[in-house]
Amino acid sequence: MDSVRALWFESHLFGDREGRRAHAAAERLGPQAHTTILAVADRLATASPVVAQQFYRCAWAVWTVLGAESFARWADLGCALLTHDLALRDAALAYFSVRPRALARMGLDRLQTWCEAGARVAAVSRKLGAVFFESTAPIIDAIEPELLGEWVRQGIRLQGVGGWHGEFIAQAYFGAARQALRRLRAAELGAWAHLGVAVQPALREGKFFGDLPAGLGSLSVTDRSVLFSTAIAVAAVNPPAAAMLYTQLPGALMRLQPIVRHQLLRVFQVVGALVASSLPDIVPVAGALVHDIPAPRRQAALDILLAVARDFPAGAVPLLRSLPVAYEEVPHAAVEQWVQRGLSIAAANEEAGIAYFGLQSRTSVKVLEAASTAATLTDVQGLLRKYVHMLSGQPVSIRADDPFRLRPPLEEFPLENEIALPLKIDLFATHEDNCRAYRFVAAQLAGRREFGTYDAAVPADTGGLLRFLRAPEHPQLLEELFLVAEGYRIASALARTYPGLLREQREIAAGVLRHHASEKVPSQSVLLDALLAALLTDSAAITLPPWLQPLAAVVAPCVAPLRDAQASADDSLRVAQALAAQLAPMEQRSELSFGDLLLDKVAAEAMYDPYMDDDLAGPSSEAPGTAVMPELPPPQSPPEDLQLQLGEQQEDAGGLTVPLSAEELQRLIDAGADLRMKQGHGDDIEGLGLYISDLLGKLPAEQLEQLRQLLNEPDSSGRPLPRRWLERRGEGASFYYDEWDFHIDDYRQRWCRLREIAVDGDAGEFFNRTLAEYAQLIPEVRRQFQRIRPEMYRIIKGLEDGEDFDLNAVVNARVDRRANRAPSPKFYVARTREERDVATLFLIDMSASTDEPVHKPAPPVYPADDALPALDLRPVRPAAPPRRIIDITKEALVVMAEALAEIGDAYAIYGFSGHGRNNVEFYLVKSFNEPLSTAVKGRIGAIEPKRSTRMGTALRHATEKLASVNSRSRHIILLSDGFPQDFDYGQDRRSNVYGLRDTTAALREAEASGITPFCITVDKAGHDYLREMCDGSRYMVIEDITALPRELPKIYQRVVTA
Amino acid sequence: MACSLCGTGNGTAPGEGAIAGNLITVACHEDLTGSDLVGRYLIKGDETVWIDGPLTQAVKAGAICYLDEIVEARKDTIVLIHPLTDHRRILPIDKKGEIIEAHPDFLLVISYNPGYQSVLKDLKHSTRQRFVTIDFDYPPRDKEAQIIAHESGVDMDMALALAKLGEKVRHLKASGLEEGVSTRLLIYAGQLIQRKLPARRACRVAVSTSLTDDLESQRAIDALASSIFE
Repeated sequence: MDSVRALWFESHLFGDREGRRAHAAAERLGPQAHTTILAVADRLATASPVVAQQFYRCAWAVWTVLGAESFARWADLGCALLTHDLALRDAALAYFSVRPRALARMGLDRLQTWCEAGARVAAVSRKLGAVFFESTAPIIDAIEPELLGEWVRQGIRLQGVGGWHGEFIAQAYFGAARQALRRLRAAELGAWAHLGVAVQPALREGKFFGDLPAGLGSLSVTDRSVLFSTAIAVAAVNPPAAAMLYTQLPGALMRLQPIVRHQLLRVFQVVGALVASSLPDIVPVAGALVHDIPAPRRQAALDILLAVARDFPAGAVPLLRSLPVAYEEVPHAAVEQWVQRGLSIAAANEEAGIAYFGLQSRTSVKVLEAASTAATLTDVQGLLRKYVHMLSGQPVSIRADDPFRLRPPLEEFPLENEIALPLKIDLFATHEDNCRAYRFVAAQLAGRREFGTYDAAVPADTGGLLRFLRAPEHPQLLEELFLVAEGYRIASALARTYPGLLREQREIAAGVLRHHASEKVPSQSVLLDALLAALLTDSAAITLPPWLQPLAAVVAPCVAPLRDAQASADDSLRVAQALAAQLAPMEQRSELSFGDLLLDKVAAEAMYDPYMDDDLAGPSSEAPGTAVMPELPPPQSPPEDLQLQLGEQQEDAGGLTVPLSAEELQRLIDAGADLRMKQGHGDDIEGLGLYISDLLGKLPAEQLEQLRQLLNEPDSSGRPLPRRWLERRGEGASFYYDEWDFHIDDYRQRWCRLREIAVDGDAGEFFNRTLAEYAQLIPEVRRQFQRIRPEMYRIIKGLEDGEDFDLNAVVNARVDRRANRAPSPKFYVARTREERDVATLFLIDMSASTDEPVHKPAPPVYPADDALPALDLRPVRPAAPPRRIIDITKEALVVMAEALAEIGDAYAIYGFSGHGRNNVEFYLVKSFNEPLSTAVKGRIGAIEPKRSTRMGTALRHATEKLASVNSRSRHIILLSDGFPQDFDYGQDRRSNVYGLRDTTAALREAEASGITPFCITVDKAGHDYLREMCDGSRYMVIEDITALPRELPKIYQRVVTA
Repeated sequence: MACSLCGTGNGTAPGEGAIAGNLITVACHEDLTGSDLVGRYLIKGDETVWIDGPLTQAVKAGAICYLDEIVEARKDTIVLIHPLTDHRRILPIDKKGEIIEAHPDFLLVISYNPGYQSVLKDLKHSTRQRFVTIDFDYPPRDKEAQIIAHESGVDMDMALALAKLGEKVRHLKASGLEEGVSTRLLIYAGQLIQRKLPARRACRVAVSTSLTDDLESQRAIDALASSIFE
């Protein structure tokens, strides 16, 4: 025995502190007890010294807790595990690790049940048994026997599932006891284990059993069983979707009330297996979507959803996505009606039903909007187009922009005559008020044109006002503050010119302020909108929210001079620059650091120091990169005279077109200059002579810093931050267009996003080269077009008097006289002059297929072997690149442009391409307003093949462009090389039917707008599809593409009639 | 020839220049024949009596004959005036076999509104080129305001606002409106305002609903009127 004891006792056991403590405690129990303990340990040590040590470490505590009699039974149960046929050493180790207190709580009977259960598992697989004991030992006192029995039963069942893999699944299962047995009930274990197998291999056993999904524990037993059964049903058709459902849905539902949670789970139970493929998209956001429904309406909304799930399962997922929008738009009763209408549509056409419930079809949107008080762009755009046209005197086209702001964005291409209006305004309680808000924005946009916003003097090389404002060297806030200052100036000018607008402006502004007043921490966009609203309201009549008061107090006096009739966009720009220099965060003001230094000082202290330039490099060390002060003459007058006013450029600046930089400002101030920003009318203009620095000086420095922080908070309102805009610079404005889906027999609402992209032109090389290449053709075409001029007169025959004789009528009259009949006196003709009032838009297909060479290069011919010695080593001029379809198209455009110069018809050139419905590209080559300048010539040369051909959307945009053109006769000439094609142009990528039908619809829309489309294709198979798309007289297939430059002018003469 | 836009005063102009009772106005229309202008035989009892038409009357009496909206008349009718309006100054009357020389004071004035009528109703060059032309365009805003104030009795501020409305609405010509708002309509609006009708309402009944039947255009013009008038 001593030899056995030597294996486990002193030399090893005393090696650790716990062992020594156990020994001391056992000795304190008395010699008899200690002897008993040692004897059991020795017995165990014969099988496993490690188990003996584990036993000895806890034996004294068990003896103390259970007493001598129960101790013996406890020890026997443990020994039985070790001396079992299988010698379950790991099981015994786990057994002796059960805490004595746990033993006392559960009693030895339950302990014995545990051991027996473990033995049953071990009988199936020894490894499984070990895992069972190890994972359940720490929590054994908390496991009810019934749960334990079910746990074992399911584990053994799993081991028999799926061959050898079953062993691994069962191991993972038993290993998960700690999480699973605490959260799941006996009745759920079967379904859970079943699901674990069903989602293989999408979710491996280790992952499935190892981690219970977040939120699973917070579900009720009923909800969990619904979840498991749903996931099992889904797994039968789509295991990955089931895995997603199981792992993500509980977490997604956590924010919801239990009753709502249950309803949503029931919806998934009904439709899960039927819409398995769409589950991965919807599951993670399902909870958030339901949460977005107003709380009092959630249950009712989910009742509707459940009803739809039962009647039309395919519509449930799109409906879930649309419900928050629907409830935002209309009351519950209207949502019910909308759904009923959807069910009737779905009964007739499933695809149409899906699109309807997804708010993707035009019908769906119209039905919903009919019950809403919101004003939508679709409703008002016709009216506003005319309204803006009347106010500004220029025709405009409208594009959608979200969300509603009092400060609509500036246009990147003002010459395109486009304005951006919000897609919807739902800020006010009544539809009429929302329409008035639309009118407010429209009047602002018209005012920008009427009062010269885009005439602001910015350096020519910056590429326009918007690009100037977004230049990297300017603070982000500059554009936003300019919109505020300019918005105020325009509003003042509008109120002056159109007195009826004044009250409307005040009411809308007050409404906006009331709407935002409840916000605690407004976003930047809201803050600046509220600021403009505060400037436009009657300040005495409304209390500003606390967060707005300091900002309004600073900005209001600064913008006050902009009320004057003489104020211009340049003045707004200066005010914005001065404000941005102060209010932009420090790191963005590095360019203006010198000015900051000054103005900060003014703000903080310098009002007390008449000669503040003495210590400019002093305490304002926060301004980085403080420059060495230039030596300037001392001020000629005290700072009371320093006036940062609006207006007159310094006379010595000589046609200055660049706004003052902070450094220049500093120098001028230091030099004692009187900086009047008002065109020399300062004395008689109220509000002039204000000191921006004075105004800021009234604010404590901390408050100023708070203002900066508030203004520079990241914007969560959905408006892209200026910097993010910058990253996408050059992409231009976005437009959304409906698309015709013949499957649903309806338009898909706002289905395609089209972006206008400016083409960076070459230097005109291509244009000039083409002119040279077609030196013979172009004079001929010109002559042809000159001959059109006489056609501007229409000849009227059969007149009694006129400019000339109609010879046929004269001959008839002579015949009549000879025959003694009364001749008709109507043998004159006259010409009626007809003004040519034509506008033609050339729409160029820039798809990748136009990159194809016109003539396939001939395969290289290798010389015969005997010719090899005659190798010509002279340098060979590289062959010119083969001419591509796009090159010919461009050449045709060049010839056309030259020809059109002869008759002066208005024309525009645009290209289109894109990739996918969210990325239709529309390239701006020449607008109607542009002359054939060098830049335009360069852009024609720079037309290059891009990607796909989503023709319908491009045609709709072209139609929209032509809608703003005042011409009696308007035409679109579409030049393409094949049928419409895009990777998501219809569900079936192999079929072109969707694209053809959509393009057909777009062509009809153009015709309905009074525009005559004409399609020219160089695709020899064009007849096959063009005859479906349009009338035979409205298209032409050019067999020999190289003839296009020669043919296009002829086609133009034939097609484009005045 | 008074070549004018609709409602700009071409109809009033001859009257301004004529001595009372010395003006004979003929409103031309599609069924106007040569006989209607020159004269015709009428059966009176058992005899036929020649009755001079307005043109013949004017030629004989040396009055001003004003053919309003001349392009509405048929082409063969218009040709009648050709010998009267060149160096010959004669009016042949076929049915009587007479040629009447015009009285030295005889003056022929025609008017028409180019553009809004169809192309077919444009005036022939052979006719056009027999007349000196007075163009009647929309007057500049301040002039138009003076006219409105004079004709309707509204004060100058209101007249200026009405003129501004007219100027803005005319932008829509050919983009929704076939014809811009005439000074006449603005005067009507002014007269209604003078009779205490609210300005917006007056513009609605006198301008927007008179100009177009298109509901959208009417609403746009109403919105403009709401912007201009408080």
